[in-house]
Amino acid sequence: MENLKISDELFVPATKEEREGIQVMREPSSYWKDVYKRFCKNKVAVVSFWFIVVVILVSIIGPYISPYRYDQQIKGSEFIRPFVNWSHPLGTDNFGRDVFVRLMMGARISLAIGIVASLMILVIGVIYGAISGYFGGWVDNIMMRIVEIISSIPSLLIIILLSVVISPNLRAYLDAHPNNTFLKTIGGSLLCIFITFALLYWTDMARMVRGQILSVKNEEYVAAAKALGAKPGRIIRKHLLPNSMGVIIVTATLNIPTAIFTEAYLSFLGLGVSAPMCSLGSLASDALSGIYSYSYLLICPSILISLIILAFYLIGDALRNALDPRMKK
Amino acid sequence: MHLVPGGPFQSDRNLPQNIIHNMEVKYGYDKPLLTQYRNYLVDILHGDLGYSVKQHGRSVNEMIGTYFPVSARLGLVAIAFAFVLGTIMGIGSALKNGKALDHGIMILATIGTSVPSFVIATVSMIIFGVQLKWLPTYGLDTPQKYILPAFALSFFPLSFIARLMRSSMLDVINQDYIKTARAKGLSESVVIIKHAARNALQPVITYLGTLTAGVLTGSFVIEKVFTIPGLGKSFVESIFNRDYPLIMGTTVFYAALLILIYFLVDVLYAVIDPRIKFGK
Amino acid sequence: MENLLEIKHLKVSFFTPAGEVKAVNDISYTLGKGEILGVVGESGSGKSVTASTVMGLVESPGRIVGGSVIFDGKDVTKMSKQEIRSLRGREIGMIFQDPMTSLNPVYTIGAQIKEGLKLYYGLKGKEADKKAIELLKLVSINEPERRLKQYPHEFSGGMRQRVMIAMALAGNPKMLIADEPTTALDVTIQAQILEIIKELQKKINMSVMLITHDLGIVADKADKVVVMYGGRIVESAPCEEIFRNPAHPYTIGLLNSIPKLDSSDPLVPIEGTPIDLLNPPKGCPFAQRCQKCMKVCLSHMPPYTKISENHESACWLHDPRAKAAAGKEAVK
Repeated sequence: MENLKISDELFVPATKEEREGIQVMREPSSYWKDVYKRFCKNKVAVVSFWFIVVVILVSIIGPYISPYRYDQQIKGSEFIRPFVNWSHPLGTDNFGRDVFVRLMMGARISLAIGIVASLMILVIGVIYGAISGYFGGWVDNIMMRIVEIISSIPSLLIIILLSVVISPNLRAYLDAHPNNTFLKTIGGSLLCIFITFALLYWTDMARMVRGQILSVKNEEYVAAAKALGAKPGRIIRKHLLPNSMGVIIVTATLNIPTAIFTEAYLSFLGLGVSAPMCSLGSLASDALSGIYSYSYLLICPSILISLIILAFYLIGDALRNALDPRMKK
Repeated sequence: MHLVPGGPFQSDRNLPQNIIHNMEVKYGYDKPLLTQYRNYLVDILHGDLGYSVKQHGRSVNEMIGTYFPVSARLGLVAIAFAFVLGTIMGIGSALKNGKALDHGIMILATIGTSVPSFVIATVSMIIFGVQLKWLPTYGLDTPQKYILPAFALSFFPLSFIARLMRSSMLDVINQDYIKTARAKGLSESVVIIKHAARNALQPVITYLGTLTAGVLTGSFVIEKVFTIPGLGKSFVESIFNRDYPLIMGTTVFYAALLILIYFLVDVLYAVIDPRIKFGK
Repeated sequence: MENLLEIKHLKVSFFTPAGEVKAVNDISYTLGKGEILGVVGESGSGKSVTASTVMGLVESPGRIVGGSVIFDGKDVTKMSKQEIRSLRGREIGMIFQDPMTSLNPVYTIGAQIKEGLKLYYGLKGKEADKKAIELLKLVSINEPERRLKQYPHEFSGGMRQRVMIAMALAGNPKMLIADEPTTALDVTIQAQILEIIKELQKKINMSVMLITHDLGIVADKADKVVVMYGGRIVESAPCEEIFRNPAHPYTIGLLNSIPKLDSSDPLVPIEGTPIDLLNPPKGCPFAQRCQKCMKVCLSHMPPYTKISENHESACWLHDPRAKAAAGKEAVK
């Protein structure tokens, strides 16, 4: 019987160390390192990240090293097919403009709009949400009601309407102040996009920040800070916001594709950037008329913008999962 | 929702000054702004949305009446398609969680929620209409002509509903009352459909309101791409033409429509979930 | 007494991405006809998983990896899905822990009860209503006709659990599994529910498996008690015997941590935390937390020692060599 194999000596009390020896400790690691590790596990997100980096680099550097300018029309070179010769790797359009350069320019503009819009939303949303969350009570109530009302407005409609109202006004203003090149380059419609973003698109960010602040507000170290006499601004800055960083980064990242999408949509309708400036959306729109014979003019910007938006979504999603400390099964 | 006509309305066509002045008198633009606004509101309440500035003689009401049914038909087909197919995909994906079908559907859905609608529209047009020449690509008079535009219009909501339904189902399946249903000896399909799906549908129903708004704005692009004579196309054109009465009228119409839909969705939601009681 | 349920050397594991979680690690017990069995253990002890296997409710990534579950002469582990489904509700009824979430919120109570009635007896319409009202009366719910049309959120916690019991009994099962039926309820309601279960059991001579983490609950209700820890049974005995003469250190620890109204002795909690079922220890699962742990406990699984009639305990302390060693200590 097995019992006989066990020596009598084993029947002595076990020491505390022997008992605890069964536990295995994991090495400690900082929060952000963990987040980074979890993000890197998501291969799709890592690929997307590098894709975006490449696109950004190419779109910034590309137009400088390319032999052609984006608005340079080469008479006699219209409608060259892509992959035919090396000087125009992606072909030319109906004005003889090189598609590749315009694509890079378009990417530059679409990305710039996306990032700037996202930053605007970040600033407005974070401030609004932080105030609402920190003060709570009726301040919070009112501020959240306002958020609810704003978020139920179909924003695309408003953008379109705004552009209707603003363009004649802008024209009149520009006529009166012809030296204002900044506004001229941006153009009326882009201005509308930015204005609408500032007015309407920050609600998500505000909600997320407020939620995070509400949950952090009741932690003990905040009470400790208050007891030491810290002013609300300082508490918000030093304690509440750093803890909301995760949420802020994720929402900001996810706002970029929304902004790019909106801009593309508007440009496609013809309400976005004005010629000769090009965004990926306007490139697609211009190519629409030639869809049957010159599909490549349409496919190139369409695919590029889809990939950019997709990449940002994947990165944002992965960030969200990486920041969530709950272990999934 | 209140719409403010904001900003001074200035006609900017290059016509001789007196013709412009006459037109302004005809349309009442020469009266002070407040009077214009007041007159307009009164007219709206009477159901009169004014007359188009650019298409002479046609009233805005009549134009909306002509174009809206076209858009409405297309929109309803798209919504129905997105809802039914999206729900089925979501349920299927949730049931085969982690397996190939789940991954496949979710990849498709991720693409669907990120790729802009005009890309879907144009790419499908190129593939199916131009290269393969399977489907017609413009106009809307035959049933086949519905296929491509409805598909393009529904792609985003379909993907969104699929993801929403999937995560909702995954939540619901782990609930205790599903365990109870199984413990009672009910067959698996009854458990899934009658108990799980019924509860999982709630977030999707809530989304129906936003869905309609999305289909509405999506129609601007789709109608442009597929040359469909609907309200969306007319709206976009009116913006370019600065046909202010038409713009205003269409906007008011859209706003009213959306409010109605949101209200209906609210009612529907209360019907579906007995926990919400009317007026208590 | 014939055995309605015999569980023999049951092993159930969950195959997670992190590894194989051995939730149930060789369990054997029986439940006789008309008997009330108390299964006591903390979270993670495997008590609920065992009960789920009886109804075939173990879901992936969980799987039965060994042993047999013989219900009424037939082995559940070898049954087809159809056969298992026909057991549920008709032969075995089950109620769960949280009555707040165990009822589908979008259907009326009546609809949910009648669903079962239609499945078991083909009852519809007025006949089904009548039987449903009878069932509600059985569990002492007032105004059953009105209650039938109400939704779960209109009931209180205790009433919802009673409805659950009524639903579980709809098919006239031979056995009722009650998985922590009172954990989510107030103490006073707890007593009510347990009373109802006991009354019904006597009335229809049903077998009951009462699963709980609270030893006090089984005190005057169960005929037999089985104590589980870390996926294994550590002690099993008739109810009185467990309370009068507990043998296993874990059981003793449980009894000591029950607050007693009439004494002002400090509570003696059991130190430590439950084991990691991914890497269960080679020896006794309770070894780490046991005050009387010996070296052998850490390396070898203790066998079942018979303490008295129907009373078994798995502990190395019962081994004569342990007593000898303790004797030597005393002499020193």
